[in-house]
Amino acid sequence: MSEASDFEARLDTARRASARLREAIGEVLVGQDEVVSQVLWGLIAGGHVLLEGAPGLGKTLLVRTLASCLELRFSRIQFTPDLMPSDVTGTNVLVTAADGTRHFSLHKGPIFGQIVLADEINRATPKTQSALLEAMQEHACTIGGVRHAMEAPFFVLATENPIEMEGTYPLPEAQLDRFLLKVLVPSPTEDEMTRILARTTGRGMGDPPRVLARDEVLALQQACRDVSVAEPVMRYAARLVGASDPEAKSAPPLVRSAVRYGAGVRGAQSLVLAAKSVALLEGRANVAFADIQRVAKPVLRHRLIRSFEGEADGTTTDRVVDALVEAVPSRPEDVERAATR
Amino acid sequence: MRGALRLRSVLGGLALGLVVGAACSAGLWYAREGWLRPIAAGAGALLGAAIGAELGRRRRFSDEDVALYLDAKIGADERITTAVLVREGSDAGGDARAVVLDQAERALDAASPSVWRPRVASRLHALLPVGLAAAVAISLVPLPPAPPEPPPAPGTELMKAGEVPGLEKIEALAELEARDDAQKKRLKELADQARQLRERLRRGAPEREVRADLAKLADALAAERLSLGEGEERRGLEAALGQLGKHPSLERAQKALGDRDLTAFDEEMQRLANQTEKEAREQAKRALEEAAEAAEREGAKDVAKMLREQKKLIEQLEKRSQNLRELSKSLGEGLGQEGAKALAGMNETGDPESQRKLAEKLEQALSGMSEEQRKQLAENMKKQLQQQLAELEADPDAMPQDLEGLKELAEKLSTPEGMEELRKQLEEMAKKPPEGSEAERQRKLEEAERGLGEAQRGLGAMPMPMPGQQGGQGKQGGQGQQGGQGQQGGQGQQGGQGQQGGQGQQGGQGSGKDSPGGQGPGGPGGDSSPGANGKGPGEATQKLPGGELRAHAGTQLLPGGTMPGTSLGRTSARPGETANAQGMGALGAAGPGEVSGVNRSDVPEEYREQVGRYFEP
Repeated sequence: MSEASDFEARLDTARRASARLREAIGEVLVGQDEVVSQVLWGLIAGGHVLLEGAPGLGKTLLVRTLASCLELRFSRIQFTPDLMPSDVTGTNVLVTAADGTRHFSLHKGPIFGQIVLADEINRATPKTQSALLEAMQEHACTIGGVRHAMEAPFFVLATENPIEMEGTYPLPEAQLDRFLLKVLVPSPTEDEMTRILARTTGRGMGDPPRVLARDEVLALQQACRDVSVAEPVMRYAARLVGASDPEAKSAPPLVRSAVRYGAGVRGAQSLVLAAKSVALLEGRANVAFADIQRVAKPVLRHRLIRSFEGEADGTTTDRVVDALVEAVPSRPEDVERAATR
Repeated sequence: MRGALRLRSVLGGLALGLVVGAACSAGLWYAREGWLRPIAAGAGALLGAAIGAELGRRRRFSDEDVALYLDAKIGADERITTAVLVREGSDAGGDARAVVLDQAERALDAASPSVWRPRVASRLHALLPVGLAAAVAISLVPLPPAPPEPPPAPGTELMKAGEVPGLEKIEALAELEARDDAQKKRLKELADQARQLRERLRRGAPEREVRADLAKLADALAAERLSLGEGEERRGLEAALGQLGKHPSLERAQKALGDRDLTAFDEEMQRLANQTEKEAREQAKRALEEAAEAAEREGAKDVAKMLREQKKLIEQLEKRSQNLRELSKSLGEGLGQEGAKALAGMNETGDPESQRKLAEKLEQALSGMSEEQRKQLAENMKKQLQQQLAELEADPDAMPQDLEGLKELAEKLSTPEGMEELRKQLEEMAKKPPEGSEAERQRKLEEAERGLGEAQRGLGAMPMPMPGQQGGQGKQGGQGQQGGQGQQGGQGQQGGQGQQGGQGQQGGQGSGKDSPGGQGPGGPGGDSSPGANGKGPGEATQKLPGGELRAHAGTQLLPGGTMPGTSLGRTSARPGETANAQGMGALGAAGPGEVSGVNRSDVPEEYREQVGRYFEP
């Protein structure tokens, strides 16, 4: 009973923290509720988020605001074509001591922050982009043969601009796979735009309040891992990912025609993790089929490699995910039939 | 919940089973199986319910399925499923376990049973009353009337006949003197078969069986008629034929024997016996003896026996014709014009018919004699005898039996009793010439075949054309020899064309034989012999008397060709019938190494050379 009370308390904390964060971010950022939610899923699940949207939609602002709301060390890397990997990771520099002796000292790069904004990540060369790989996957960075662990929580938020393709380097699949979610930032509505104008063309606003401390964030991440997932739900996630392979028998026709490579094991893991964070933030101790379906698009959209036919037809990966969700039944056929009559 | 789902499955199966059972009942109604209808409907219902129960058992929801169902029904976001699996220990839920269980309980408590309880009734169950009503209705509705009986299959009609004329001629074969025990047995079997067929016909038998039996009888009769010189005796027959062929005067006899036409052979022997020249008669007898010896050497005892019988027959006939000549000579003018003509015919050609005619005229002349004339005739005979004795003293080569016959005649004429006896003998001679046992057997077998044809006609079947039957038709021609077509038939016999032309020859030969004066219209004599019916190939068939047109033949006939459907064969068959007997033609029975078999076969003469070349090694 005490365990139940404890976990219920953590659920309650998560619920309230989520509400506070939303409220704090909302003071700065107008609209984009779904984007904020998805960024929070990534934070709670301990993953990284790739934000994609046109310039001026508040991607950077969102990340900066989030960093302000959390009592975490924030660092920003503006990716440019001439950015070097050592600019990201840091390097050993020769230092002359007061006694005249000289030695190498590690000069840590911006990657060593807790919330790292990789702004316009697709403007750097693949070599520089790959400097993020080890840190994102293993929460550690090797410099000069010495492995340096990142301080938890470590949360990378990358942004990219899909419009300006000149002088950009699309992220390789291996790099994309490291992002738990790919969040599409939509354009604001008219009302939101009006509010943005009202808020940003007047006197400047102050910084948002600190909402969560580092330990609280870690506790939330721990609670996320404790959320229960029933086997049928996990099986559903596995079936969903399996059906994204065009060679699979269960693959829907659109997948067969428009997809060259489907999602892998990391995609299935991401589905369940993201769904857990959704459940946690909604105050539930278990994951539902609906949670899986809800996180399917941000989790899978950057993990599906379209075929030539799919690209030529203009089939988006979001359409493919919709087809997958529609084609793969969540419950056994007999149960579904009995439940619907 | 599981019980409800199973009940639903059972009811669904029951409904479908009832419908299927009703359909089966409808089928049984159509098949007029009235009492099976309710059973079929009940069985269908039971079977459907059983299948439904089995399907329900197989599809029984597991705990997980039930939890998923409840989650879906009450919208519990898989709390119940997670709780069930967490309770079973399949998920390491940690701290969340208790919360999940608690949340699941609350969700279940909050949900009304009416929300999650599964519905037992379904749309499929609507078939239940429909199927029930249909099954009851079909079980109660009266059966449809029975369809009319299909017509019996062709040939299965019962054929019934109290009397079948013609079969008695086959039955009479049992009394026929056989060549040997084997033939006796065969003849007895033939007679038995005919008797059994008569009995079956009296009781009634399927038509096709009757026809098959008739066909088998026809086959057996034809085989029996051709049995002399067959098999092991083939070589002996060939040797005898070879011996006969050495004598030009026996050419016709050789051909008749080769064709196994023993009646014709017999007639040829009579002709030889009637010859005036003694040397010719002796030559014929020697040839017969040589042929008999040759046949005996080759193991053909029956052939040899028959040839020796013929030799004896020649001797008897020789004596008889001599007596007739002596008697005619003694009568002188009293013989009359026709008698003189018959005597001349007999002396010139040895024609048995002329002999018969002469005997008839002599008998008429003797019948009309007074006592004085009889005595005068006896005196004349004695004087003639004296004269012959005197000549014998001068000529030692004269045959003693000649004088014996003359002496016998003179003695008979000297008394009224002897005269009467002589007259009866002449009367007998006018009726039936003596014949050999083989010829008599063949004649009886031909009669049996004619009887079979008569029986077939009586039973509505078309008789197979056979040489014996054609001979019968020819006989009718012979009966009308006094005028009309029958006389032409007789001419056909004599004419070169009729005798050389296969079937026509047989027809012609049949004419004039054992036909003492019937009134038949005159048969064609043969299928294709212009000589047999006296009509040339280019002539039109004579118009038949009739009031109206009964039938019109639309087929273009080949002039002089064989009539379609009446081709002569050794094996009888009917259209559509399967062959069930081996061919009996002479060609089929050719001996091993024999090179002239085709000359005795049924193959028309104009094709024999080609066929013979085909069989040449």
